[in-house]
Amino acid sequence: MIPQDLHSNLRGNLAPAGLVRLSRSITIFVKDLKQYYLKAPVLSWGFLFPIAIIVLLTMTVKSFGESVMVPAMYSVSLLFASTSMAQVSVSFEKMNGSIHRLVYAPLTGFDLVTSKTLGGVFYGLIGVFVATVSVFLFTGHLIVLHIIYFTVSIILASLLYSLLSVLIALTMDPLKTVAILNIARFSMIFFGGMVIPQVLLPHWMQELTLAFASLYITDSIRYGMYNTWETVDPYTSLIVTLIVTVTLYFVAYRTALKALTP
Amino acid sequence: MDGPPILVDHLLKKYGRLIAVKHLSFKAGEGEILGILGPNGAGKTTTLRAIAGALKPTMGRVLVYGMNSYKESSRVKRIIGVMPEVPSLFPELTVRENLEFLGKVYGLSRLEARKAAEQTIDLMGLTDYVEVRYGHLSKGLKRRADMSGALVHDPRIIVLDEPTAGLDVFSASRLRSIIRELMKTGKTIIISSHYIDEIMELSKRVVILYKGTKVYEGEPRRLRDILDLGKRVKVVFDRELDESFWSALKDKISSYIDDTLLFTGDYLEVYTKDPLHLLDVLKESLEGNGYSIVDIDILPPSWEDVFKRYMIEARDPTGFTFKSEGKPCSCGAG
Ligand SMILES: Nc1ncnc2c1ncn2[C@@H]1O[C@H](COP(=O)(O)OP(=O)(O)OP(=O)(O)O)[C@@H](O)[C@H]1O
Ligand SMILES: [Mg+2]
Repeated sequence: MIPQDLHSNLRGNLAPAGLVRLSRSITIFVKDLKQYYLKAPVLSWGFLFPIAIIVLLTMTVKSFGESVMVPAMYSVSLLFASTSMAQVSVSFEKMNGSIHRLVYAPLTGFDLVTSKTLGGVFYGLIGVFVATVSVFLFTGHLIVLHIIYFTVSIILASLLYSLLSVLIALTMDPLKTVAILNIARFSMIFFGGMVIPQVLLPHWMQELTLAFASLYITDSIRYGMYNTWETVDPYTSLIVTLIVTVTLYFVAYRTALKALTP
Repeated sequence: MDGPPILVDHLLKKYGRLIAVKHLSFKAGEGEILGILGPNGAGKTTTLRAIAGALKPTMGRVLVYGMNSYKESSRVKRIIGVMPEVPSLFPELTVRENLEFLGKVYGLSRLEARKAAEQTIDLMGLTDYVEVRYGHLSKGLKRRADMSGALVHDPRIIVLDEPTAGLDVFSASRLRSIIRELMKTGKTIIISSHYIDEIMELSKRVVILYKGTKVYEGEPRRLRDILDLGKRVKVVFDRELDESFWSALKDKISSYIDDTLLFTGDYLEVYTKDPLHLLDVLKESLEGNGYSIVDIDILPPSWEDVFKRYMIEARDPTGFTFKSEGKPCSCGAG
């Protein structure tokens, strides 16, 4: 046990509150990486599955064209990688009871959501790296015409997907989490114009696709890389993504502790 | 931070239609070790979670040094250390990594967390296991590590939820001796259990819960007085008693016996309020028929029996009145 003088020296009393909060979230994020980066769901959903899809997509590059399929590869990798982490870092901890340790600790809903979301963002960025390498291998070149726009939309997208999975994993029991995440992933792929370009879908379905964040994300990646878009103009895409992300953050941190505190 | 370390004030918790804790009130003073005793489902964990700020009361409140444990939970959680009832550290991390991590989550710097983890490991006798993954520890060691997790940030209040449940006698007694060490540090400790002997050994005051209601609060020793179970007498005969002799003997001694616990032919164990007369009558009858007594034991009632009896009475509303705080009453007992 620590002596009494250390107790009064808790960092909470010395550093600005915001920094302390963030450092706690980062502590949890680093712990999660240490524990979970090699877990089966992360490996299979975060790496193997996206790679399989990338291989499939590259076969269609010739027929649909690079500006259609390359953004789709990025989008798929991001989606799967960003949503794979919460499935372990939240659901596993619910199953083995260790989530109690976080519930009993002086963390706010915001700290908890931030920490668990960081894991997904980190994996999302790894997914982007995998996509970049694959694209380069298959096409022999890499085109990013608006690098800042591209970077911002990638980061926003990984935040959005990661938050979505964290919200689901925090509020649902582990089995339901797996099912709902899978439904979410596959409908995002299908309706986000990732496997079948949105313009090729039947007319009524094209309207439905507007309800899926993945459509906006894919289009903003497309604009960042190729200076072109299919359905939504780049600024609308970015704003919609931003609004959805902020809303998810808000909902997640308001419900996180309630979901874990009966 | 005004007020006692723990003040549970008309706490009521419903899960759907089930009332897990009903209008529960009690308090724990500075440096006190308070036991919460009750069978499965009595509401012990619910109460402890409410104290630790990890449960939203349906009605009532818990104040920790005057702070509302739910509404001001991040302040309250900082000064409470909880050992949950199930093993709950992170299985892929080593004991050291777990404790350093928890230290940091509770606001210690990296250096402080390392120092605190080392000191806690020493205190808990886990030095040989620091580099072992928590998931690979035996159950007894896991519980010791769990307890370390509750202590690493040097909390003022320690909440232990069934710390020894499911452990073998050696691991349990090891854990209890650590708890006794902790008691010397002047911290307020609240410990739940369904082992009455454990609560007797560790705490001076106990709250007994049954189906979410407090049925007793006070010194555990007083329970024995209230119930007045008498003495437990064990007698061993030189050989098995003849069946017809035993039925005659039974009639003769029945007025001295409150409860027959066991009879196996050459062994008798009973509760009696008058052990001396019982033994006189026994000896006389036995010797008159050529038997003899080879061993006698006169013991106070076992705590398990006290507890069981108390629970039976708590269940029977006609023979028992729920007690208010403080002095136990003997209404309906005996
Ligand atoms: N999250 C929950 N949802 C619904 N019911 C619950 C929940 N937690 C506890 N209960 C119910 O509330 C009652 C009290 O449970 P609690 O866990 O507090 O008892 P306990 O005294 O700790 O029991 P045990 O000795 O088995 O640990 C039980 O009937 C239990 O089934
Ligand atoms: Mg319990």
